[in-house]
Amino acid sequence: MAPLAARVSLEAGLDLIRRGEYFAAHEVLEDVWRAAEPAERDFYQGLVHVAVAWYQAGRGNRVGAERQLEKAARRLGPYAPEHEGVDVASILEQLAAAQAIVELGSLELPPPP
Amino acid sequence: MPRLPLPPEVDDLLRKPNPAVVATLRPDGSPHTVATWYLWDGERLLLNMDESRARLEFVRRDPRVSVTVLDAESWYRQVTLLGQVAELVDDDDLADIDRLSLHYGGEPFGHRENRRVSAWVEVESWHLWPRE
Repeated sequence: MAPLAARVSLEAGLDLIRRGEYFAAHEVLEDVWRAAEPAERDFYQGLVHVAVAWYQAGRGNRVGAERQLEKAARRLGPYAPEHEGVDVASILEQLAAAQAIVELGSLELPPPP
Repeated sequence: MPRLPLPPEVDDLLRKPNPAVVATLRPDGSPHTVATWYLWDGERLLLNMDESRARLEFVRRDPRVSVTVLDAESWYRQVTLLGQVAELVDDDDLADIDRLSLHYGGEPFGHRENRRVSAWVEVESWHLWPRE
């Protein structure tokens, strides 16, 4: 995927997340992830996990949501505070907040960044 | 074929207590099928069996399985999962079979004498019929 195409897909994926279209977001971001350079792969895979975590939570898939939140935080951690114009630090904060909510037994996650 | 997560229509089908059939492989390579309860947690499929069951030996030897789940409301609608048993866990306190029994029948599992084993299946591919 050419840099510009990756950029456009990243924006599209993030926009789909903001609109709550988590399954579609995961599909778009997964394409970017698969095409990414090795040093960038964890960043995009982390964003895929973000989309899937909210998707799973929205479907009541508790274990799936838990696992995805944890994987997202692990993959994105090294890219904080900011990468490719994305506020990674803020995403990590929201992941932590979401993990706390899930631990308390709810799957009502606030919208992601 | 696409991997995880499963799209909403497949996830919906799997989350319900639908009838299902699991296929394992006998040592001679011939297929073995049996009806089964299952529980889908969004990422993996839980199966549970009496420790004396033949299919337990089969998956210990070859972890590949296929599971077809039929929509109880219209069994022509079905999803087939292909995958592997990633983990076999002794269900010592029968917690897993109780989860399955509650899911399907609303009551804890009745036969509590025998030891049971849980198999966690990781899905590698799937197909839904009819396509949506």
